[in-house]
Amino acid sequence: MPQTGPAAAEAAQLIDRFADEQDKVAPRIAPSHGRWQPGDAPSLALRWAVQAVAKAGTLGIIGVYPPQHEAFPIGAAMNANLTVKMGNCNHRKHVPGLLSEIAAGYTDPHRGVDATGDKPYRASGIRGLRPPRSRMDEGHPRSRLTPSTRRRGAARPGRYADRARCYFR
Amino acid sequence: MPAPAIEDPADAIVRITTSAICGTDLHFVRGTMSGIRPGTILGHEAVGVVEDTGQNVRNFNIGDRVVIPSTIGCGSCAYCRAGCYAQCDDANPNGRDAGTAFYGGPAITGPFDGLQAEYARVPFAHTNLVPIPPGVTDEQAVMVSDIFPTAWFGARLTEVKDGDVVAVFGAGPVGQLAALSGRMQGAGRVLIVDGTPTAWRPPGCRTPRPSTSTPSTRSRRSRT
Repeated sequence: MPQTGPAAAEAAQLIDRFADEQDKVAPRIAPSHGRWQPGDAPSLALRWAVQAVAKAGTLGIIGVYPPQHEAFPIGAAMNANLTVKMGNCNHRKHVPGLLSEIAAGYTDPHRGVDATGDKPYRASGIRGLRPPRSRMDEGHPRSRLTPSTRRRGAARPGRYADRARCYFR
Repeated sequence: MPAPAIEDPADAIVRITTSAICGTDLHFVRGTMSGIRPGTILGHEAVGVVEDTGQNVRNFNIGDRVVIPSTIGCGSCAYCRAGCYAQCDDANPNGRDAGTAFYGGPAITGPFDGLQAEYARVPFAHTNLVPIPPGVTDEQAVMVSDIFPTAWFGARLTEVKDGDVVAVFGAGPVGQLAALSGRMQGAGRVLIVDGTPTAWRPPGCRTPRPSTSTPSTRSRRSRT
């Protein structure tokens, strides 16, 4: 729950409700030395998302939710004609396509993710090991993909290839 | 723990070479998601090398480098054939209405021993292994085991079309990759919301000056 900022006062009005939600979702907790603290506002991101999306827009909800989580602002969502789509990911459906895009150099999950301080993304544990050079980088010898520079046998560009090359620019 | 063995002709045993920790695992460890059967090996993100296959796994050979997708499907039921592996009818021993089967989860998901181990048993391995193409490192591929597909699917759920404005709440690894996925899927602007002051800033992003409005005080018509 935010302690400061413009949304803190509004969120504070829901403290009791969040406490009830936390009791349902995480009935047995064992915080220790300040660690293993469960989230103190289980439905806050859902409420913010419903408020923030444009009316008649679409809300996508992803993650892992226990069956005991029952808080969603259904009235607010209805009154804005929202489309709400959610579910557990169908990983097998998306894995081959994403691997192909990485293999062809059109995207790189490490380029999109901050590796400083979070050791899991440096799985090798070797200090100073730089992430693989991506085609997105200017100056990469193959940053412009033409028939002559595409590796023989490389995966064909994905559907989103033309957009993928200029993300975050 | 004893090494896993082939239990079904459609199983494979994979020697794990890289495994990752997910935020979900932390919920299991600290008790904020209940129902874990004591003794279950945790972990649902890994890549490895095929060590052994049952006789019904005809599309993988010993020595193949593979990604293990986090959720388990059978490959042949109507839901799997529609691409909806998370609602497979047959993979979850608790029945077709018990929800998603995945590795290292609570009893209601199987339970299946997880991938934070040296070896793992992969059921329905003809479906639940994906070969890693040349040029993809283990570090890249382990992201495709769970969080990149999760983020990609999250972005697909928003029906993002060319030029759309997309907001992502939460700048953890899934949120970061969801922002990347939104951009790849055509979003014209991607806004990332996080309460952590030191949250990740992607290259080229603009951090706006603080605003005094909240989502509920801004009129839906005047979005500035």
